[in-house]
Amino acid sequence: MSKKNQSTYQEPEYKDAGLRNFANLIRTTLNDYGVEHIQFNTINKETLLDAQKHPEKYPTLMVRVAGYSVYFTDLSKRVQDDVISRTEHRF
Amino acid sequence: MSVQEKEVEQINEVGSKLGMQWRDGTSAEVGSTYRIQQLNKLLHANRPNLEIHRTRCFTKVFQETEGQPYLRRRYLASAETYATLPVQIYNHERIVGWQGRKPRSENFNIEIHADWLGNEIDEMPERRFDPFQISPEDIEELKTVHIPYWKDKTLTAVWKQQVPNPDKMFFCGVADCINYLSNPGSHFLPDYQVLMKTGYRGYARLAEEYLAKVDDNNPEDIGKRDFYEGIIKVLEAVRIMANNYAVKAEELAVAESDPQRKAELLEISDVCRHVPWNPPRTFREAVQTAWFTQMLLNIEGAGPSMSYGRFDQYMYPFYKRDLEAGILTPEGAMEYLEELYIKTTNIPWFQPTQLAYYFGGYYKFPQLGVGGLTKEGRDASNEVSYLCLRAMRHVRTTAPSVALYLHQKTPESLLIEACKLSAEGMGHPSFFNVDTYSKMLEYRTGGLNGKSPYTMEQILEGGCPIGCVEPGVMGLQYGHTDSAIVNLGAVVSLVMTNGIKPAALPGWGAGQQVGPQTGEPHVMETYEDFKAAVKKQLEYHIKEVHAHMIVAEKIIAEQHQVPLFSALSRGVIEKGKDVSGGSAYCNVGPTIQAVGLADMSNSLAAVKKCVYDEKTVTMNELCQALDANFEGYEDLRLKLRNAPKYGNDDDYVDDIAAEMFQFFSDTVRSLKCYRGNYSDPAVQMVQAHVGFGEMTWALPNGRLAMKPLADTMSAEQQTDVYGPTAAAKSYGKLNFPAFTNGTLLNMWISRSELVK
Repeated sequence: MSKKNQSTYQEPEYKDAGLRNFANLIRTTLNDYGVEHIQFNTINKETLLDAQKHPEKYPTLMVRVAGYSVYFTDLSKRVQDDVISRTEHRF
Repeated sequence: MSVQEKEVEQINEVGSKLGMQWRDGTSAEVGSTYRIQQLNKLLHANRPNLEIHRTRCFTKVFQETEGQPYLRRRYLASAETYATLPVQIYNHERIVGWQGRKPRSENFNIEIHADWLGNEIDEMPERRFDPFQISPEDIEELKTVHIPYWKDKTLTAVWKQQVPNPDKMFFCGVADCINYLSNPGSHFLPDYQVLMKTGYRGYARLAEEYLAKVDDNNPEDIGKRDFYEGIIKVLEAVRIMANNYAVKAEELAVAESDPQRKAELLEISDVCRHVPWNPPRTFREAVQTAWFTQMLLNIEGAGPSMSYGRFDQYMYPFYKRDLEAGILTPEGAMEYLEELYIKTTNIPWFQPTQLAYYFGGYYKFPQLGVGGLTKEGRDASNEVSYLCLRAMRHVRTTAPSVALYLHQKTPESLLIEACKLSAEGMGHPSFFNVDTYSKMLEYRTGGLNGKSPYTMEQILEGGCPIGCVEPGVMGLQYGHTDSAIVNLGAVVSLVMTNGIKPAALPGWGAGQQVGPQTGEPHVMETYEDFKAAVKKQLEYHIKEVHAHMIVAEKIIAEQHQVPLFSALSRGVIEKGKDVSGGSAYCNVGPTIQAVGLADMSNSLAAVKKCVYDEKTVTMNELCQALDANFEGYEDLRLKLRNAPKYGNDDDYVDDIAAEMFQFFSDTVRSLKCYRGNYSDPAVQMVQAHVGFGEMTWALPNGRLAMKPLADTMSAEQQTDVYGPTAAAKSYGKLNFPAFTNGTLLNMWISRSELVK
């Protein structure tokens, strides 16, 4: 393949303290409290609300509904609303 | 238009049909190399479509073998399907194999879907939820040839003749088992540890060895000759399928002008002549073996959740050897992983509209896990663990569900790698607690007083979740782990109405007595009386759905044999019996899932607080307010909303949640299944809380009629107001090991906490 062979991925700039808090939350929930499984949505609420208004701008926006990831624009409005209505936690 | 009609109208505004119009091939052109970007584009340029190859093979073989034993007919039909599978290789591909004539095909099970398919087939390409493309000619062939032959022979059709209340189990909204009826051949962790050492050849040799030992004078051996002869044919058919790919690659190589692609095609040919029949020699061949296996299991079974299991464990020896031999780099290995992820995402889940609405988005729940412990109890992570997590950041596919199996010894660097993937906002990965799912496995299928057949060494070596969260052991477990749903919100609602389903609700039984008479609420003098009524109502619905499912389980054992699932289960060839009938080392399911845990707990807490403890509301007022869906009762509703809510580390309600959780578990685990195991409980039903919410009336927690229930294990929406640690402490009060079929918990962390 002589074509440009570079990854499309650009690593974001992480908040180190945020990542550490996140790792600690996972350790606490699982290792300390014994919960079997946890998974996270880490999208900003404004992004989801904007994606409902302008789906054409978010063709590959993914969310975790429960147990699986899915393209947000594929979901019924009811399920979209439910995802948005959940509590967005901050540290 | 009534409020309810408006709600239903709203549902139809968006959906996957529109979603795909926004997402064409170009926007999905992502990946670590040009090849991956092009393959991702190919995936998204194709819409999910129906392939009728398997249907044709099954109709043909079944018509030719009328009256013969079911197992023989199914094995012959499976062999015919694999040996003649359409072969397709696209530019840039190195890991080959498609379910049908084009990407995103579902080579579906006609013998499962024929009873409802006739009603939906004409609008299939246009239906709102999970539409599938199919040509007019194929629609015509299905309608004239296949649907008429199969529609009275499907699992659902046969089951309906044998159970008292089939429609209630599909459409009532209190307890349902539609997922079990629609998806036999599912939830499976193939024995990859052995497969990667022996290839399919190893299973064929074993079957030949045991065929030679069949004693036709031994009554116990009746049927075994069919099993062995059939399974050898099926395994041989897999070899032919791979060989057809080798031939196709050679043909393409002859016509190819680009020397680099020509060389790649010849490599594909070499790989497919060798695997999956022989044990893989390289990392690439091991990936190809895993993919062919995943692809074929998804053709053979109708259901979801065929999983890769502990992928980093069985792949690492190949990775290490290839790296040392200088024929592979970490980047090269990651490219193969990305290709595998694209292929895995390619498999859509085909289901009736009713299920597509609950589980929309075509997702088929394959899981691929990393980390965990070795059988000696040491940290098991390796370089492949990191690559599996990193590949997902580059390729950005919905599948597989990448998972980290976490324990005290997991290196911080691997956890941070997983957190970085999580920060991407795709929902990957899942985080699992090895200690907890290992305890679940210790007790799985054992009933209230027993244990599973698993030893701790087996659990440590091959234990991991299947699909979304259900614990299993690779190669040792077979059975449906997502079978029934019991709606805990509806159960509370029925207590408030003495077992009558509110007339304004949609679905079966509206206005009728659908549950037992647990008494008029206003005569319940104490909270204990009220709680006892809830338990009685709950127990009734759990038992009713179980009774309906074990009849289906027997029909599955008699008529839905699955040869590849049997071959890829450890010790089953030795027994000479198909896994559908109970020959797996550990038979699981049908299982029972709870939806609306938070709604039930918060409702009980609100009744306890407002009606009994503080007496700020009378039971009669509460029943009137519920009847009116709180219209005109805003003050009363506010009192209920202010009662303690699960998810805030408040013992008042968390104790109730823990008690009901335990009661649900004990009730389910006391029920025996057809194959001899006991049932297992779970809280995991993906987005069922939305669909079931639509069939649930107003509740004493202040939730309005037809609104979504709380999802899975999670707190009710917007009620966990003291931060993530308080929520985690609430969840931690539940007895997780009692939920032997797994628990699912969602949490939302704002992206701006993690990324600048």
